[in-house]
Amino acid sequence: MKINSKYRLSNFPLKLRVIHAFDFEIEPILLLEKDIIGNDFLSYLTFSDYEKEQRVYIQVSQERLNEVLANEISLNSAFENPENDFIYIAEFSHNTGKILDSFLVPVSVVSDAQVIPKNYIINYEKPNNVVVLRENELLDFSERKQKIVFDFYLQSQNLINNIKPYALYKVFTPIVEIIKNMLEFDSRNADRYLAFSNLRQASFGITIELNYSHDLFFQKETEVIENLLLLLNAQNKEDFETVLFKTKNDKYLKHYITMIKAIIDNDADLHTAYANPVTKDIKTNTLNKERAEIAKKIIDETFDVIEDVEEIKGTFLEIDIDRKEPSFKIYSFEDEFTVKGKFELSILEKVKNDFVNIGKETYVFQVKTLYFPETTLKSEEIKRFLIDYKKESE
Amino acid sequence: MWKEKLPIDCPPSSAKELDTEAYRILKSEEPNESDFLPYVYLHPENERYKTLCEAYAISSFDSEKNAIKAWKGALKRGKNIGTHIAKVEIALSDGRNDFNQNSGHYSTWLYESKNYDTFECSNIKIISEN
Repeated sequence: MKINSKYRLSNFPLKLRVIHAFDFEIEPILLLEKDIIGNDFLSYLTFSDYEKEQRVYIQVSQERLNEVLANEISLNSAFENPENDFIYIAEFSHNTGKILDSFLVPVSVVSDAQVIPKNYIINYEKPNNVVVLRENELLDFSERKQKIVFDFYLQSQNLINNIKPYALYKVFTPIVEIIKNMLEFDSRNADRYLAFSNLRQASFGITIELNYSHDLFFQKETEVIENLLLLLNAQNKEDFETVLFKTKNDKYLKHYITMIKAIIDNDADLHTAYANPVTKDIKTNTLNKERAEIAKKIIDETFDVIEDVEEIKGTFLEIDIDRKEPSFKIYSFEDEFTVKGKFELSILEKVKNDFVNIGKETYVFQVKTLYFPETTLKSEEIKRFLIDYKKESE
Repeated sequence: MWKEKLPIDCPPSSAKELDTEAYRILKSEEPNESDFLPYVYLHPENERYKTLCEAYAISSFDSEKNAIKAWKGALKRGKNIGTHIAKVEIALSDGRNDFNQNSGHYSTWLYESKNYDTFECSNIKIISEN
């Protein structure tokens, strides 16, 4: 289509991203494109040779788009009656995809040229539930918000009609708690750093917006979200070790375990996607029941506990029998170090009745030591119990 | 699984394996690999269509009539996409297909095992505009 040069634009004002093809036969004929602030545009191929393609654009509201897709109004009449009276024509290089020329034309230019057949029918079946955000949409959203965004979508048969509490309390909340733990802030500051949007039902989807650094780089939150994705993706010991190595503490693991169990119990699929407006990265992950069970096997890994009873000659330094689990601290003369632990319940009465002279009298203590070896997710642990003691005769 | 690294949610869930005959426009009487390249490989530097699922599919039509109609459409827009038309066999093991009933157009996303030069062409003939 030849266009009068008086309609030429010095710069094409739209920065468009191709989102969907409604008609792609040999060439992309009818497309949905979006600008950087999320406006929808329909573009129709009017010319294409081996050098360039020419497309005509109208901006459409969601309502108009639905009408066109349902063929309630024809594509031809949508282009002849654009909602905002603007029709753009743009020419792109086939080789580079870059704009070569652009025009802003009155409606009559398009209607006179009859570029869109009057009987053009769109063949489009709308998906039942568009709940998993498309990657590009998520990146666009992230760029508009200028925040790291983490999209959460939980799918399960038991979430079709409504959102069950487990989805909120045992999957979504633990994810938020993991983020808070890894970023090292608590609920008092949550409103400063977190926000939720794009709430979707059937099943349950929500976008977590994250801006912790409040700068242009998002370094800390980028690290955290990437660690979270590593954790959600972990399927062997090395994967978990990598996450543990990259994080300061392992307190978030209890939230992860809650989430894993809920996914298994409800045969749910957790789809997550992360978009970074600075690096333009988009990463996705799906954690289903099978993968959750593999992760749980590693979490449940235990080794035999090693038990040992030793005699220590020394003196009491501390006794606290008022606590829920009465505790002691003793000093070993031989090894010159202190040993802390809990009283075995069977000797509690003896301790109360003995009126022990702390720090002065010498005793021979029998201390039972339980050694819990290190597992993939837990560091080693030593628990000591005082099972008996005798005052040494002078 | 797929011959190409496809965008997310591609091919659509509606795409199915098919065992059917289809018609494809060829550049010459002698079909070769370049006759069966997806759109995205015709202009590999063009970023505009890299995330578009359909750009990774191969086009064909359910009838000679519909194939020629599409060829005429492309010609009207400014491009002669080929001179010949051939019947091709689409097998269940080739990939998944989406079918547009209005235009008789197949989009075929190939499995890894299928090569572009292994489409069997028959009844190759020059396109007649009439």
